[in-house]
Amino acid sequence: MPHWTVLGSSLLVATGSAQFMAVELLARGAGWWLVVLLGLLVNLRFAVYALHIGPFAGQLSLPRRLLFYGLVNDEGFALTASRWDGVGPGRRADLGWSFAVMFVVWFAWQVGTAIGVVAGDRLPPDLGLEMAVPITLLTVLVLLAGSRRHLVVAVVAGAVALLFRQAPHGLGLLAGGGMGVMVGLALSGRSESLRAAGQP
Amino acid sequence: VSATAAIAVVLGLGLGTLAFRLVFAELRHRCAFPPWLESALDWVPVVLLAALVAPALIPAADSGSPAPALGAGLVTIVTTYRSRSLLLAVCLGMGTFWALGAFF
Repeated sequence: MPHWTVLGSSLLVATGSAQFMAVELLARGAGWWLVVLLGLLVNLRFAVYALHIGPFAGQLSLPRRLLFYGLVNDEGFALTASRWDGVGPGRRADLGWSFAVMFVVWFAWQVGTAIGVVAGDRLPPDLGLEMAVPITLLTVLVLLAGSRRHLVVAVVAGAVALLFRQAPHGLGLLAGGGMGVMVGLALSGRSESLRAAGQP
Repeated sequence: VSATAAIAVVLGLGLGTLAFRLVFAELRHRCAFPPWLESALDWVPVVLLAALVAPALIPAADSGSPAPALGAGLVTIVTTYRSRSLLLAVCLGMGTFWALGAFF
């Protein structure tokens, strides 16, 4: 595959899971329409992020909103979503901060792609830096999970994601996330409404 | 892989994913959702974090010693819980990962 398509795919698609899957499928000789279809399925989770982001991004002017939507990514969303808890539609969320985090993650992805294209296999094999992202996310998770219900839901989501570890990254997120939300709904249905309690 | 197929995939995925974001974000911005859907959305950050973290911290059986990742995860959880400090937890977690990596 020519180098410029790799860079273009990072710039335009900017979702690691779908990119990796697309490369794998294309290499196995799948048709482009099948690759697009499966990639969009894996990227369905962005619809859910967008549902979350909509009311807050609504404060922005249209061009800035479009830019913000274009930058949305898994890690950036996970890191900033906790800041939106308890901020109802119409109230100002800390959007500048979210914007910055989204941009940093997006930019790091672009730089990483460029380094991979230019330096290729001349890179040192393993610095262990790949662990920094999950460690940071784990910290946010612990800060966010304030109740036993949160703990149960997090364990369910994590366990289902583990079951799907052989599947493309995005499908594990979709399955684990979906199952976790269902358990969360069942748990919150048994007690008072979550919103009334002011708890995420 | 032909360049045409690669371009088709890049454009299809890029535009399609952008369309998801635009349509659903604007939809939520403009209309009210039923309460069950609102509370389902409240769970999204927690489940997403868990689903992202679990496969990274619990290594597959065939990928070498699980000790560095598991130890780092444990240290991170305990440090975060006790200190509520993101920076401290990340530093100690990464330190544990490197230290255990040197032994296992």
